[in-house]
Amino acid sequence: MNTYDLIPFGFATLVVLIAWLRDRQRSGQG
Amino acid sequence: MRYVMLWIQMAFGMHSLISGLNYFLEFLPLPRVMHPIAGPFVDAMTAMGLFDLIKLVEVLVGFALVFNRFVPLALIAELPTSITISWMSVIVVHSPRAVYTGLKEILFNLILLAWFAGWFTPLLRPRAEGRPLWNEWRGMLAALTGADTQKGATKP
Repeated sequence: MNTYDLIPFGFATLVVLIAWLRDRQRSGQG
Repeated sequence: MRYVMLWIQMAFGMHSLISGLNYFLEFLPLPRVMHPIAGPFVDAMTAMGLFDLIKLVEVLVGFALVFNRFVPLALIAELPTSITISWMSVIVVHSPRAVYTGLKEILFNLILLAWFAGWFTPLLRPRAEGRPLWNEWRGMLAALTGADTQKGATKP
């Protein structure tokens, strides 16, 4: 896997992780 | 499913953004196409200035997907490039690396188009009357600013 894959895949994983954590936090509050 | 699609959108968007920006700024080594047919094809497109336009579209599509703005439009704008890249990589160059890159490009684009397919429903009318820009611009402006009612929207 080269830089052209590492950066997009890493970034995408980070965004999904943040979205999942935010969803979890929101459902916990609701 | 939403997380999978978000992942694909972000990966495809960031890939387009890096690939497009790198063409103009060269912060990573530019991949050279050494194939006897695909190489001269890319060189000819570069000489015509067409590659500049393709890479500019790639940058705009990258920003749109990463910032989640005008995503269906961006996916349609990127489709001709995705088809060209995947055809060149999978059919013409055909090395394992090229096949992987080509399949990834076209599959990401097509999967995301399927995810946002509901937005293309008005395009599927077999017989369409003219709806000229000079009559429709108010409605289009309303859509652009989000002032219209967003019927059929996939909730994020």
